Amino acid sequence: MKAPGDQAMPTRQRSVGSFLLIAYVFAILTLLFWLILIIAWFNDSGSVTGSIIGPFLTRLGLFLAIPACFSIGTMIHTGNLRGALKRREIGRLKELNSLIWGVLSFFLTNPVSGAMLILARGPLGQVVASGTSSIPEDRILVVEHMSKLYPVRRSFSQVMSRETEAVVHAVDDVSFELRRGQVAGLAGESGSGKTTVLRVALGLTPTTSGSIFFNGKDISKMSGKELKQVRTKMQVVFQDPYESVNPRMTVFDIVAEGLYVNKLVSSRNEAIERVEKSLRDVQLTPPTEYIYRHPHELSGGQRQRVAIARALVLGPELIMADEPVSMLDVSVRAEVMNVLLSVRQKQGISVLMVTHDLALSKDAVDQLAIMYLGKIVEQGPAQAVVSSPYHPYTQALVAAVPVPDPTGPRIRILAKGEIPTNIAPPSACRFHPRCPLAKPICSETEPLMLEVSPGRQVACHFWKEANEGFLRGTTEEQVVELAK
Amino acid sequence: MYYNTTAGDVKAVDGLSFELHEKEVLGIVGESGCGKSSLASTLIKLLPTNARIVDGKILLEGDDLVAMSDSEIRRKVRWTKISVIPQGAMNSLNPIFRVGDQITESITCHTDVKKSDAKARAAQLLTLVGVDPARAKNYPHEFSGGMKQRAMIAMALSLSPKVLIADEPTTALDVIVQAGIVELLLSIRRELGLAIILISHDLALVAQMSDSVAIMYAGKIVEYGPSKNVYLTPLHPYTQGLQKAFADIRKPRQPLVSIPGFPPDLIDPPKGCRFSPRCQYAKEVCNSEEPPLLEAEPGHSVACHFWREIRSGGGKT
Repeated sequence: MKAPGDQAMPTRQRSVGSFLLIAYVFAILTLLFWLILIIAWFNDSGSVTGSIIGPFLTRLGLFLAIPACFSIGTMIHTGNLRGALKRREIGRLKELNSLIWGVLSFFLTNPVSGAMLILARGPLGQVVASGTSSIPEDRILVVEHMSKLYPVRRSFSQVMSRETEAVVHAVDDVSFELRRGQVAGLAGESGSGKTTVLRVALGLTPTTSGSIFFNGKDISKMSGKELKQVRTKMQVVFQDPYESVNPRMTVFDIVAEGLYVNKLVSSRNEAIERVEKSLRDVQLTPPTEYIYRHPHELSGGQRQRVAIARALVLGPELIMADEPVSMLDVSVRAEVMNVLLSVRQKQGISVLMVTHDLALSKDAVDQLAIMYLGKIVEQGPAQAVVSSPYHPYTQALVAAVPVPDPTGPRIRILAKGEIPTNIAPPSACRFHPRCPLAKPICSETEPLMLEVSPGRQVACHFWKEANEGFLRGTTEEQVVELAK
Repeated sequence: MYYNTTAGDVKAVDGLSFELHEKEVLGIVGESGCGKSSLASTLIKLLPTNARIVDGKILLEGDDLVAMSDSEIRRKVRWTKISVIPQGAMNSLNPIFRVGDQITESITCHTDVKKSDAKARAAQLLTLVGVDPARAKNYPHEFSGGMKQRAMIAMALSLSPKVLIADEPTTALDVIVQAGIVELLLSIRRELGLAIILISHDLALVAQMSDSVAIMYAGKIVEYGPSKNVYLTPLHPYTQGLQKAFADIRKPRQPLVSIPGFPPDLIDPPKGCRFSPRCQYAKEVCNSEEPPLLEAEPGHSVACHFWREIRSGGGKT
């Protein structure tokens, strides 16, 4: 009776011993991880480094803690520990010790690194105390101090040698508002952050700091479930209709998908009815002719109208459109723009449009904001901004737009060079290295956004001189001969 | 020029005639699918295998390029007399070779110059187009979009051609960068005495650069003449429609006007005038008879049955 038990004992002990060793190793590594995290935190508090160190170490912590728990779990399974506890043998308490460490490491590393992450996010940008109560009823979208920074990926050695972190300032402290039933435009060169503003406003990517109020509610603090509900009221139309509609789905499937996802229809007939109404709204008539077609049977303009129909079918209050016509032919651009503007008029839908076409935005947009390197440099009524720009950057954009008239003014180049990278944007006024009017103050003090005339805001130290100089240039129809 | 497809011949470029004078900038304007780019590749005979030139002549300084053999074209014409800046030049550079080497290669391929001389020439060309020659050893991904475009222009100029075909040279570039490229092309023309064929869908851009302009629709020229005449007194309804659809930044806010419908299928184009299904002036004759390209004013020709009525009536809006 006794013999078999005694013989089995040593082998079991040996295997337990190796488990014990593994458990200790992992417990020590977990401790080390803690130590690194705390040191990194104290050294870098106030900088953005935490946001990279944080996730990296969290992963390391999980990597260590999970096997630690496994080894301890196996140890318990062997029954050795239970026996030790029963017999209250002092020597066995070592194993108890390791068990405690293993469990602690598992339960503590995750919440702690999570908390570290939250703390690390804090100092990324100044979180502005948002006055939720002060959002007027007629503002469908209010963006307050929105910033979006993307950390640049660093190699392991860079992380370890604690090289300064690079961050792309895609959007930096942008504020604007959109009234109900209006069309707002965001214009600027590629890389100015217009599309990022749109993505953040849609809740497709979280803000780094700042708030976005849609119908008075801050979407940057919403959960996924709440966002899903809000998105039925806030729809998007993408730039390229050749990419944004699924070629294997019919027009009906494309447009009705949102209805089914949000469970807004109970029967197929109801879905068909809603889809047909939506297609009529975008002037794809008669809808029966288009409803079972595939995208390859449609022209570019028709595809984009299907994309608009898809946005409309949910009955949104706000449509965000990212360069909705830039991929289309000139002769159909106006048509698609008019579809968008007519639904605005008939159904009171507000539109936030990203565009780089100033000539078009003058005709289609009510409020225009000009962006440069992640900041809004000028905003106001579109017609006024385009015909009498205050900011030298807006002027450079306007002057570079060709006019379809061979006898008209020639395009002029008012900005030197090309848009710099926004990893390390220029100091103070970001436009100063390219600005023809730049003075020393421009690289020292950042110009504040000033309301210079009713509804017109500009961030430039010399807006007055710039505006006068520009108007003199255009009113005299001064034809600057290109490359004399 | 027709493309052979399983669905039948695509008549991409159909019965087209124009002249290009020395040092002239000719703008060719049209929507996508109207045959602009097919025209460009026909001119240097860089055609895909399913394309064939059915009829016609391309006379360059009196020599007919259509009759020439491929090897003759390669030796005597392509790049040395006519060169082309391809559409989407941004992606036309080979990403795994240095920019300078690619320009050098285009020189050594067509001529017998030594490699060191070709390198010196490449540096000279880069300076000409406003790129720092030291950047020649960079790879294309280290260039910005505007710089890649400039490098492509340098490459096209490498053998000092007489004619430069620029196919949508500024698509996908920002306006300020576009302005720089336009300025560059015009200064090159002035300095080197080139003739440029500018192919674009951008009516405004062509207005800025060209001396004469041809408006293409569905593989045909519908209006052709000196830029001033075509822009100020457009006679073809399509030209007028395009002009209205184009927002002008100088004018006060106005509603946008579009041309209804969409371009026809070039396998089976509409009978008679190809624009008739979309035309507000269309009458029965437009559906049966194809209007010839007639000279309405000296040098300014138009292919429309009703250009007289259009000129006297609602010609200009």
